[in-house]
Amino acid sequence: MFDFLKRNGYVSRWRIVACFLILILVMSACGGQTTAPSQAPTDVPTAVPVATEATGKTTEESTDIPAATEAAEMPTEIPVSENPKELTVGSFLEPRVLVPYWDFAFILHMLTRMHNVGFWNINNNEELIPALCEEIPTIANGGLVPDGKTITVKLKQNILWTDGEPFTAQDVVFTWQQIMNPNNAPATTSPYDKIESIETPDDYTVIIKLSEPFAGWIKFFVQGFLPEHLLKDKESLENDPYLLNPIGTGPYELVEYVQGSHMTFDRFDGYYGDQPKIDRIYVKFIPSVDAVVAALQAGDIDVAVLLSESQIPLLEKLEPEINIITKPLGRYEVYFFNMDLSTDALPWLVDDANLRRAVAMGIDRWSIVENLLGGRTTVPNGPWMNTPWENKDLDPIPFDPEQAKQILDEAGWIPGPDGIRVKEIDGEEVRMSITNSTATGNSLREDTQLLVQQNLKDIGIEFVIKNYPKEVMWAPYNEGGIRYSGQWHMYGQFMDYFPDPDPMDTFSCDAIASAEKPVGLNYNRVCDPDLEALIEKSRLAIDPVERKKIFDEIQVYLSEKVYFIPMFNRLGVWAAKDSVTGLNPGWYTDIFWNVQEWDIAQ
Amino acid sequence: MGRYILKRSLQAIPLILIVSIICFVLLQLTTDPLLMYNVDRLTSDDVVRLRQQLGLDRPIYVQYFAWLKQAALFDWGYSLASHRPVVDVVAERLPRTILLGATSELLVVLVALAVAIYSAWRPYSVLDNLLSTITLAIYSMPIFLLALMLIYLFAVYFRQWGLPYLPTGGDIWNPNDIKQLIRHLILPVISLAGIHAAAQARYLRSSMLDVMNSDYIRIARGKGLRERAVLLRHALKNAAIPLVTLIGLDLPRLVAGAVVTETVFSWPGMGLLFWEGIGRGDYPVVMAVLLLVSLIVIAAQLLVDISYTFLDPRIRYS
Repeated sequence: MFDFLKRNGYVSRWRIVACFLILILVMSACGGQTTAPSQAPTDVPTAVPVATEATGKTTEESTDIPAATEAAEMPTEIPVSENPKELTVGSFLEPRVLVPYWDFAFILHMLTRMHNVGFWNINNNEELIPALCEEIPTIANGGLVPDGKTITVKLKQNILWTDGEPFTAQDVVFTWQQIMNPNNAPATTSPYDKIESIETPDDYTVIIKLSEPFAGWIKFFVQGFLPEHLLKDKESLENDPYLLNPIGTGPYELVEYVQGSHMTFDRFDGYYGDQPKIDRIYVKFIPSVDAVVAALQAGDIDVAVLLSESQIPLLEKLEPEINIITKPLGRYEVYFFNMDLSTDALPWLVDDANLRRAVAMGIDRWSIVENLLGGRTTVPNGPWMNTPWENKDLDPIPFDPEQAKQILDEAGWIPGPDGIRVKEIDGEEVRMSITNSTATGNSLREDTQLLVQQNLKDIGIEFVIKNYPKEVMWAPYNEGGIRYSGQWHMYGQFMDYFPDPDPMDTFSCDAIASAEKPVGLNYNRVCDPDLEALIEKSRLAIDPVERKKIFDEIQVYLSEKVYFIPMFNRLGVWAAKDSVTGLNPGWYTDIFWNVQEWDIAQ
Repeated sequence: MGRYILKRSLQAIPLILIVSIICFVLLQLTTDPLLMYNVDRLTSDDVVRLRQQLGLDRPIYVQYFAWLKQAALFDWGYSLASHRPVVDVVAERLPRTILLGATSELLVVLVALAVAIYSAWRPYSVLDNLLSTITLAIYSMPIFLLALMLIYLFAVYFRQWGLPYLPTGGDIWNPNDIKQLIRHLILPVISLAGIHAAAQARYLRSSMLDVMNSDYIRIARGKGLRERAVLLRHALKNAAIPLVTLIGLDLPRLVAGAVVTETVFSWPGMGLLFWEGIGRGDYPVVMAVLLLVSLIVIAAQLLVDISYTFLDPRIRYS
């Protein structure tokens, strides 16, 4: 059988090698096109949406509603288009479930935008814009009542679910009931547990009654709704196929989800807004970020999301065929000072805000942005830079080593023989040495530490780097995690306030992790009654204008207290083929908030 | 022989039980299903509610017996992460993993045999030295690097140079289309096979060289047998015994999958499933994979032992 390998009766080594080479070449040529990649691998979409099949409802059943009939028949017309526009988005993260309230992973939040919309949407300038509602509720239009306990939302009247059924106020009530249903296990019931009742005087008016004033009301139903007509007979949604096969009211409908591989979205012709320009969008899950970049370079995907700052140098080599899109986000890198004396905090640093200010002044954050982030991002003036809540009158603490030295001198910290400052406190000589920790393996953080170390040495402060593996650094409180148990002087991580800036979770004394309550976002371990009173005031300010004024005050207060140093704003990084247009990323919504405006230049 | 197989199979039952207890306890101690959420965004009420709803507030032995009772009835429950039946999840991934694993194992054996036979036939020749160097280089390469190099060469640069190219695995394709399936299989198979083939070729080569120096080979040659018969019929059969052990050890890998290869080539197999499951504390899925792999380990060992009797008539079990 293998005679062709033989020469003079013996196996020829060269023939074996040649056979392998030929085999590889034949296999790689097998179906290999030198033009476009095969773009029609899956079957042509069927007229009946998958979600309809899964829930056992046929399109015929919806024919009694005229508007619905129209929409239900429309999908049959889609394949008529001769050259359907198709686009593939590559992501290294994949959602676990596809119904938002069951998880709050950012990837789920992003992708949900394509097929399920809430009352309102947030654009690339981080402004609230109407989606399913006619207008954003304000005190002026009667949507908000000064007592802060009633929110009235007027719904648009022409909204359809992707299966053709009309969307009504009943779906809002149903969604709330499902989140609160004890048979269901959504990730969080907050803030829906603040709702006392939802009244629906007609199909297009929703009146939300709250048990207490809640200024963060924009959080309500920002991630879309659940369809009452499909799910009303179910006792529980746990382990229900709907969790992976939802319908929505967005510009696209989900027609296929293959776990571990991809999602397929088709244009929804019954969409209430402007018609999407691209007919079909695939979202491909590629678990390795390096492979995402390779796939973009090879042309297998058109848009790459969730890239990071460290990939920019590689991406720059791919220009101009590939466009890099970057945007300084509301998310920022922060150095927290440990403010909790019952843990490893440094007493002299906790006691004196001026010393903390001097440390901040000694760090050249602008040079970090310039050298480590290619000058593409900003130095934050406080926790809400690049969000609508930013106090634009506030400047970041400047880089001023001379003034920093002066503050330290005046406080009695005198340089010792090795240049590091010392001071006698309670009869003991204390060295001005601060330990900084973070998780190993993040090169941006580790490089930042080295620059800060040099900066602080210049003003006489020793900056000791003591990093831990991430499993140790970020472990939960009950597992002795370094961050949660306060075993640090100062540490670095990123922070954001998402999707609403309510700072109570991050600054209330109650949110400090402890043995009794091992979770909490108050990593700073700061317990300041004045700050808490200010935040409490902001929580009652249901009018966004009023709320913003209090937030401005909070930012000034935080800037004076220097409980933490905001280092730099993290960059959002996206990359796309230059033929793709309309990508306008925002922080809250990534690139998907205006998916209907995307296009491909021919 | 029948008695021996029965005895070994019965021995496997307590072994599987012990494995399941160890795995269950280790999982409970090291991961927490609540970690799949951003824990800090959960309120204290949410934590209490979710623990109760997911049954995590029960003592660990109660959880174990509840799981064992289900598992014994072949009901593997639902994935905590994706809310799908574990059986469905595994059934979707297993064929893909076996396809990738079996193809690469076939390539491993072919390459290892070819290299070893050649080396035994012409030891210390130029090509033998070259092959030794290449196998050593590949063997010491991290699979991640090898996989990315293959992607860049055959999928990225070949396409840019206008040559026939292969896909990166990051494209949308239909696994039911045999042509597409083959194209997508080539690079992952080569990168997965490369490292194992290198290891086995080196192993088999030294085994062949040992055998080539033994007396019966000299006698075989003295009888005037052709070199081909000496090599393939006398030397290879004896040198292959360690290879059978190695292949037996590799069998569980065919089911367990290969995390790195699957990650780089977006090949949704068991390795990725297991890896994600650990990160999410999704113990119904992780336990299912672990037990499946343990079963295969035990079965593969039995198979190897039995195959010895065919390869070497001196070995007998009673």
